[in-house]
Amino acid sequence: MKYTDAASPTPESAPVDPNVLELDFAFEILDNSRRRYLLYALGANRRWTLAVLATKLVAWERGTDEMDVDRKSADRMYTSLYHVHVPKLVDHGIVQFKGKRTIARTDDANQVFAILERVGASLDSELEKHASRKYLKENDT
Amino acid sequence: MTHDMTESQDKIMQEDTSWRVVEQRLYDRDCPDDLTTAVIEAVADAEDVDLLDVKEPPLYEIVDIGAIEDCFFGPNEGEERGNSVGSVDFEYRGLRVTVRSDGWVQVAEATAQP
Repeated sequence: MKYTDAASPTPESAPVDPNVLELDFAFEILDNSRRRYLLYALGANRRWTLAVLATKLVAWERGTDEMDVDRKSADRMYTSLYHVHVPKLVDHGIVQFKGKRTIARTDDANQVFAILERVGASLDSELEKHASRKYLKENDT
Repeated sequence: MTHDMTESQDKIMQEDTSWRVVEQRLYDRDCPDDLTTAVIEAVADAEDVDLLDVKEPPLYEIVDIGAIEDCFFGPNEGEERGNSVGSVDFEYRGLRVTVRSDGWVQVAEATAQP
């Protein structure tokens, strides 16, 4: 399980050959609004707790305030992120788990972020703005 | 009831295992929750545990749930349903999960042979 091994880097997480990071892979990652949201959030802030990201994402999808997101909806979003979207990003070396509940972007993520910036920003600017925004007393660490 | 994936349970999962559906729900592509959440919720209900207690293994390691979702329920929000008809089975935490193209998600547990 690569995903829970993130704390102890293996040879697999060694620096990635830029040629490996082809466009197909980047677009596969970006072909989902929840993953794009995660990436925008991680672009603004290298480290997030999953619970905070889940709450923010529900608020974004519903067009409501984070304060109005009920626990059950946040848990359902957490489940979606935890079981599929974050592992996919981990698998591609874009994100690492820092402890069980916190994720951080890796240095290998730069190419995907560069593409996201060029392709996505004009189409996705509202999503980006929302994802980048902090709420409550969430801080960088 | 809890299901730990133990070796002995692994051995039960042979072809002659019979299964009893213990939980099912209709997945609605138009609701904001994705198929992943529907599957994990059904598993949590089958195990009678909290949704967030179903953590290991991450579903990503078991099955390409995004591909199933695209295949049966259309690739993206707002688009028509995928045309594929059928069902996909996979085993997760000792349970058998079935996703059908009509939207039913079923969780079954192995029953002892007579």
